[in-house]
Amino acid sequence: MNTETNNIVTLEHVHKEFVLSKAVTVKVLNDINLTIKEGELVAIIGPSGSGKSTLMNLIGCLDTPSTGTYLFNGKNVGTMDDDALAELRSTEISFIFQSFHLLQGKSVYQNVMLPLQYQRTFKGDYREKVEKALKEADMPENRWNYKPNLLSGGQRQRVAIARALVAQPKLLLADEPTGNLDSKTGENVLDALIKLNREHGTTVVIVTHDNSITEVVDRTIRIVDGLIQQD
Amino acid sequence: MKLRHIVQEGGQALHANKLRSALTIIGIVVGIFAVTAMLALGEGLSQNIEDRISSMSSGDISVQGDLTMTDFEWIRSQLYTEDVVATLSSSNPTVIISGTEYSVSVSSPFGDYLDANDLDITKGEVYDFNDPEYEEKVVIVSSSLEDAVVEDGGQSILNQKISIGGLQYTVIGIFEESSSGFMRNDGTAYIPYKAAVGNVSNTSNFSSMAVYLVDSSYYEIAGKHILEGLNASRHLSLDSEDLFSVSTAQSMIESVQETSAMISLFLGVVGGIALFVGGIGTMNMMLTSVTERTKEIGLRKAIGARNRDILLQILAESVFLTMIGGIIGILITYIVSIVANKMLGDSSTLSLVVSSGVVIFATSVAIAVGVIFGLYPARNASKLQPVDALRTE
Repeated sequence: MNTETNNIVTLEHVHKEFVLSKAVTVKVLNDINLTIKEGELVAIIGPSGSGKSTLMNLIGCLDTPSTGTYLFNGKNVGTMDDDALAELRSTEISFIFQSFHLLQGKSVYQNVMLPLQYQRTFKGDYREKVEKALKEADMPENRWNYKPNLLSGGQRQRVAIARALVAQPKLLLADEPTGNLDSKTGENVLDALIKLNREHGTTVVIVTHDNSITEVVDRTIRIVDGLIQQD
Repeated sequence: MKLRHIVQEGGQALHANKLRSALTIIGIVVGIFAVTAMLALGEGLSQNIEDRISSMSSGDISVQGDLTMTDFEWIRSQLYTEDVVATLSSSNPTVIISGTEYSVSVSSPFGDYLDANDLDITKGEVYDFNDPEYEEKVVIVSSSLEDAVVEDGGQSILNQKISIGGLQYTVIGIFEESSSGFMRNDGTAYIPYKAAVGNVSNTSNFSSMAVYLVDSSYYEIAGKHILEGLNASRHLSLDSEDLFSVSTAQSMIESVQETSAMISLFLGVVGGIALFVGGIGTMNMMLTSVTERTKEIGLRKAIGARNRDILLQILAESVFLTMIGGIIGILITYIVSIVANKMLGDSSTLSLVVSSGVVIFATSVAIAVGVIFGLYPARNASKLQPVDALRTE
């Protein structure tokens, strides 16, 4: 297989800085060079403030690099407009957040269906896809009509996983997915992500400060002060 | 995002904030009610005045002045003339029936009165309005006069003699009078031309003529021609208005239409101010809502929403609010118009007319207010960067 096409994420000399005021600019990422292959299970670890979440935002096309090149599946993200980036997030990238980010006014089912509503190319039965995603995320069927505030933390994260799965993404980014969960629930959520990677071949990138995750992933990228210290 | 989903999302968002949505809607209801009520009032005023002018004015052209039988024949001979009705100047004679004096409008229409007007004779008969030599002392009266006499304890006045200007006239017919005009009295009485001369009128000349045209659209040319012809016969300058004046119902209606359009505009502006305040309320709510939901907007963008999707969703919510407010406002105006019109009665110049035009205009305005006042918050929301929005606490 061609190496270029095999790389789902390619970052070349990527810098990211935030201009807080005319006088203050904070450099968060420094000359990041990184490739992630399709089907990899990767952990990006580092202490708080190291720039790992910023890196995840760049990889997830939620943000753009200040300088440098980012190729997603061979396509240069830097040349894409807002609509093209939205399209990419809609069809190829999904997120799981530490604080779940579920819409409180919607039921479990409606939360999971949401990404499909934004897929312009999607035609077919929403129901079939939503139910499949909920089952894959091990979400009990009798909770599907519940509002998120009636669910436990673990169940909420399962809904978030189902929402990420429903669009059948090529890349799943999880930002501290176990951060708000007890250790047992956290393990279950992690198992679900590993299962997704192993059974569906989805590329999974887990961003965390928890070093113990290195035991279960294929590859660990350690980031400190905006620099990749270990890969 | 499909329209169906945009509408659903809009509805859900408003449902989630019931009280705030309801308060915003009330602002719009007041605004739309003010606009529609003012427009309905303006339209009612305009329609009433036009109707009254139409009913008061006889014919397409009204000629005023000291007009002779020769003038009458000349006007009648014109190609554009369909009918002419001439009226003697009346001295408002006293009408006494069975010893009681009544306020009666006495006139002597002469000419094609029966052709030009649907005179509904309910009892008796009529005399020949076209005969200048008919001098029998007869009179036809409106049913309202007969009703007034009966109410006063009298009998039917058909075939009875009544005193008009001191002379006795026999009632030979009673007609149904269409209610019109601003004047209110006991009724109307018509007496033959020759029987009126020397009694209710001191002169054999007419004070006015109503000219009915073959085609109403000729009113301008025909009116000018009549004035010029009459002036020429008196050796006056053709456009002189010293002796004669020619007016048309159409020109009066046009003038009233202009005035009522101004009144409607003024009333509309007054209502518009209330609606503007309602619109500001909507914008305020949408801005608050967008601020509160920054994280939600960030999430929606993270899972694939385009700027346009967010823009349309917020706009849909705003239009939802104003449309609901608009519909309620129109309904309230409609109900108020029914109640107000009942209370004011048919005779009032004031009435509220909620026409389809008013409804369509108010609905369009409600939607426009939603779009205009929702656009700024919606643009703000759509421009949010997903990463910044998600980071918001």
